[in-house]
Amino acid sequence: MKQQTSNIETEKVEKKGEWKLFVFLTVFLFPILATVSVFGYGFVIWMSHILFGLPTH
Amino acid sequence: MKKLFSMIARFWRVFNKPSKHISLGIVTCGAFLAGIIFWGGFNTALEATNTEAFCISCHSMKENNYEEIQKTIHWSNRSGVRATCPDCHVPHKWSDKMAAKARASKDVFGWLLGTVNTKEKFESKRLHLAQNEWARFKANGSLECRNCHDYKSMDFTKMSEKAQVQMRKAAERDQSCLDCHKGIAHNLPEMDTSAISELGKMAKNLEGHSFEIGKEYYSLVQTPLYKDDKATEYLGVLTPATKFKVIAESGKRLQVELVTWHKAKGYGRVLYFDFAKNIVQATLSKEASQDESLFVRGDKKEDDLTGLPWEQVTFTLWVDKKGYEENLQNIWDYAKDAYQTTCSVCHTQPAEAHFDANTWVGMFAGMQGFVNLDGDTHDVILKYLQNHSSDYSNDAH
Repeated sequence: MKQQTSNIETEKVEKKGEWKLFVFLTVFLFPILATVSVFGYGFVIWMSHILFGLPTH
Repeated sequence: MKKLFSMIARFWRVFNKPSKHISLGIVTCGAFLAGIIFWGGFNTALEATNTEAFCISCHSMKENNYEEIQKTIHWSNRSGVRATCPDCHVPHKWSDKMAAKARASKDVFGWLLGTVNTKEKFESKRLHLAQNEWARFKANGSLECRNCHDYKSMDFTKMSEKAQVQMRKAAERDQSCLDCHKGIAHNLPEMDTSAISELGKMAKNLEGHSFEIGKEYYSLVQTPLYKDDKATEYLGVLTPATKFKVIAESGKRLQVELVTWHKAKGYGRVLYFDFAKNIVQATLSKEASQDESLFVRGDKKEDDLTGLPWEQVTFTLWVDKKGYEENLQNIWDYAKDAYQTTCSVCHTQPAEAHFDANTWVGMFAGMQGFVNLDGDTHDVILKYLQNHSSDYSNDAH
């Protein structure tokens, strides 16, 4: 009986941890990473303009 | 710190394992929805930074660039189509647009540091800012203009004759719009040449200086002419790069001899460099041009083209003691530099010997409205062109 309760307890903590991480990833980390990588992409193109000249048509 | 690491370690363990409590369906649905919301939000934010309202939320934009465009055809016109800031200043291609946005982070720093937060600071940076945009338009052939304006859709017959000639030629060469149309939506920067300040600096006051009698000099700037060493009577003005010979000095002034030509008809108020050549050496007052005590008459010739009689005259006048140049080439070097920098802002400048001395007067006058030249620089460039025109050059066209 005691063993079971402690199992349920761990399960609860595990579940909470998974949800916490899920929300953290989808709401914060990945959107921030996506924004940073788009900015980085723009930055790389900007630097390439400086190094290799402005875009022609 | 330790706590943070242990938290990251815990997150990593969960991250690295298949989820046990959240179903795959919920994970994928949640991620998918979050993706949609993010992308929508990202584009909304991107669009928001691409509106005029956003651009003019900075004072320097609103008070300078935005005010200036309101005086132009890109703001208000008969067709009711207008260009907003991003239409011209943000590339429409996605990757270049992202580059422009990344680059705009510099503007944020500028805003924080107050780089152009006053009218004076903005004006001092205007040329630099304009040159950045000009370089972009030059490289992409004014792509942002041509998102709306297309050579193929232009009806040349609806243009004025003058415009037709230029626009047809431009279309043939697929010329970049900004090659000619700089300053179409905002004020042009002051494109003052360094030549003037240099000439002005060289022409400093030399009151106490002793000049060598009999030596020839060239004026550097517009130089007032007087009847005597006390400067009691002002007679007119000498243009820059005019040769004279010092024949006497007295106090603060020099007596000089000017060998020149005038038209022997009318008052002859304008003195020219050469027979039948419209290269101005000096302009005199009506009285001075009639005062026979000031000059000696020389050869007389008639210009076949105009039928006007010309006469060589040698004037004796007084000028202030100040910096004059012994070597004409030094003046021409400045003039050449000024000509190249000023005129090349808009177009490839024609070779000096492409026109004759008299044609240059009209050519130059026609271009003057586009640039900001002070009197001395204007005179010295024109004279440089005339003296290196087909009349005086060996490699004429």
